[in-house]
Amino acid sequence: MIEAIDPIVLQETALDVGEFKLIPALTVVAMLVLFLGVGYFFRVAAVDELWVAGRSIGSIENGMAIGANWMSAASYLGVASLIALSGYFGLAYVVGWTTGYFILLIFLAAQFRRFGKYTAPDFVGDRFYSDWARGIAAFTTLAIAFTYAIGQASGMGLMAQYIFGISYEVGVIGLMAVTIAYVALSGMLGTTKNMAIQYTILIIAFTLGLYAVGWTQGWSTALPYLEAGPQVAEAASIEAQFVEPFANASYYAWIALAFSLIVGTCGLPHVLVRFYTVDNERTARWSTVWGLFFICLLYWGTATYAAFGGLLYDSEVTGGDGFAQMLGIEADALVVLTAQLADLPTWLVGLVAAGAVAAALATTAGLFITASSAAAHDIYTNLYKENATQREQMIVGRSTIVGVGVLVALIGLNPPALIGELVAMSFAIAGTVFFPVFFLGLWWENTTREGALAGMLIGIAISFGAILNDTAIPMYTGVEEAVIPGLATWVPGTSSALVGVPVVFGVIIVVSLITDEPPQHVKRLVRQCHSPEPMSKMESAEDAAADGGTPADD
Amino acid sequence: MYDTILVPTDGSDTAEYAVEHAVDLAEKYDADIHALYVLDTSAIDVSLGTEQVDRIQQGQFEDMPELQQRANDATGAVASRAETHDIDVTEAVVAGQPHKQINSYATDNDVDLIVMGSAGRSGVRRALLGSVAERTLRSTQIPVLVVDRQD
Amino acid sequence: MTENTTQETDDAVETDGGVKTEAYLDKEINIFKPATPFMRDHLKVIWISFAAWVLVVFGPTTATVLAPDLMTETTILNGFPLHFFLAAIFTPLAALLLSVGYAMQRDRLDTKYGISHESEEETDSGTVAADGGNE
Repeated sequence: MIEAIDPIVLQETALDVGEFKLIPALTVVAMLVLFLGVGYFFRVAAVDELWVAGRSIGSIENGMAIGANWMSAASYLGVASLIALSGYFGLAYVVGWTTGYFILLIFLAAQFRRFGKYTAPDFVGDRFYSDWARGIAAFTTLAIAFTYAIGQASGMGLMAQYIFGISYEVGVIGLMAVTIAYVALSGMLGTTKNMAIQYTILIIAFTLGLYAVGWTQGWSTALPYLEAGPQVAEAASIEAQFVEPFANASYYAWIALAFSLIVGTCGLPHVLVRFYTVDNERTARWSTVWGLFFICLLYWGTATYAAFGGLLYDSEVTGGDGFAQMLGIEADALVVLTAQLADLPTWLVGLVAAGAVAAALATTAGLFITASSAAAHDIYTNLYKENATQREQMIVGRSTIVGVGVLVALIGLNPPALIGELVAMSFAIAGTVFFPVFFLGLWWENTTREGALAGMLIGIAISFGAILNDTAIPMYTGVEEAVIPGLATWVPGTSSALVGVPVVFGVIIVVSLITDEPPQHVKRLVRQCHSPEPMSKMESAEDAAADGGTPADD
Repeated sequence: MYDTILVPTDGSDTAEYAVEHAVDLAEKYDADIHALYVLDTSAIDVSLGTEQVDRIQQGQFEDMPELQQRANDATGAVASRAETHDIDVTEAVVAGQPHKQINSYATDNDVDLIVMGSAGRSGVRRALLGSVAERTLRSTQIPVLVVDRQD
Repeated sequence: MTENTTQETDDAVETDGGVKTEAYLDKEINIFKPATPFMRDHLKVIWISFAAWVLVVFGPTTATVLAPDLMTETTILNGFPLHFFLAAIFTPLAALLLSVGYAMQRDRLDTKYGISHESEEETDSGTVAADGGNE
């Protein structure tokens, strides 16, 4: 595993930091203003027409929203970095973060939508008829959002160094503050249509940089992804470990990581929401397909960036000495560094960098909302005070956002791992804790409350334990080695799901078999998810059973 | 004097106190009551997420049974109180910023009097949580009767 | 008097499929024991796609560990080592194509079972007017 780098002010790096660049700075601002403005422009003014079927979202637009959701600092910056540093092992990130959506599509998408609950805690709470389950799920959601956001904070800090010339630390804090403001504003202004714009802007920023590097270096013209063969070969000849299959990490590690990211995709709390933003199931299905396409458009470019970046680093920075000694912070900024080293004009490099900032910021904003709804709706209202007023919920939600923001910024000042690794950890948690209960909850009606509770708790123990073992504890005690080295090999913090998921499945199944079957109304709920009948015709039949204790006003 | 009385409610105890006054006045003036629940989109934004606000705005409220339940319970409480006194009640649910929605509903429906509850907060709590009653009061020309919560 | 009717669909369950609905709600859901024709058909599609997916996702890497020389020395498109190209470009593409295939299969199943998604939107509340949806 890559060691943590201790960031000091303006550490020596090939990235051109320490100088405020006006055009890139304006580009960032322009992007954020655009995202907010589009939402405002398109929002429906007369909001009292609640029962009139208004504008609906098509599958392409929703697909772009899915793509935009996926465009975090990890996809934009982190993956290229990992490929450059770890070669073939880095490609496990590509495979894991793209192909997971297919599993989601075939096993979970339609069923989730029919179940009708759009947050993970809601689903868990209702499916497993248990407030404890809901609480555990809410806690897990917070943990996932938190870990994921730390990765974003790291990306923000790095980019801020380049764009604003400030130190990494100031960048993290400053941009986190901007994120919180962005969350508040986007709430007020609405997000309608802005996900499509977000995706478009970000993919353009990312891809333009790639194409420009390819053109100026004479490496590619129309399709750098496919034309980069010679560059990959050249990079491999400089650094054999770039393509050598199991040089840095074993076959097991590769499989474990890919598996973890795949199941994590299916367990991410904010992914579920996308199935509800469209009218009907068919659109939800096809929008997932489109989403996968839009995600691939980005991911296909990551290996190319890694190859291009490696070559440029070798020729421009180390003068032929290879690129393996790239620092973690340089690698994490590789996408921008590549553009810079190719001598692209500042506005273009700035565009690429601004895209990274916008991606990180928008993702973090979304994560904060996920966290706030887990706190306000699932923990505060459903567990603590059933008839909490809307205003109370709003206060809880907002406080959560600020609280999480501060915590994330603090840890982000000195992140324990690379961007991609941090996000992978959050996926490992999601995959180990949520995937089993989602899958079994939807596909085996006899999964019981006790089974789910046991499963989630074990899942938390495994995924958190793995992260503590090889990342958190070593980081904060200064000890290089994992606490239990053998554990770190077989259950790494970033990839604990390969071991975790089967274990949790086993626990859930065994416990469910020995405990009382779920109540009939819950079983009918599950059955309803697999019926081909379109949703709204089914809904009222089962809803009374499902909703049970919705709070009356007193 | 008063033909149409608007009773905005958020389903809380605070709102309940106001209903008594509204019903009493409606009886005396032979007025109709409108019970209005406003889905506070700012609150929904952080408690359920921005996508849910979008869905509401797209008219998918039918697919959101829990929110509907709250709304119906709130307006229903007003309605049942009014019905025992033989008063005509119209129940309505809208979404947006509470004071603005109350104001526009009142204007659109020729409301003569708004009767609403207030938690009567002061100091820091008021600064943090604000008062829909106060904002409504300040943004409308229509007479407003604010009934403070009795502890 | 106005009634306080909650939004129960007066049109309950449509006649097209009313009988089917009951049947679905009575059959146990267990992924290894599909109990209704629709589920059987659906699961067939799912398992086949899943098998194909496992192949394209984990196949290339497994091949790389089993036959490293073949995988690393074969080059594609002017220089990509085969294993590298498969992981970076081919596998995501394959997953995408599989998902297109799945969506099309589901559409076909929908037609076969007579499900239409278009008629879902009941615009029974075209009138917003003064009482904004009587609940």
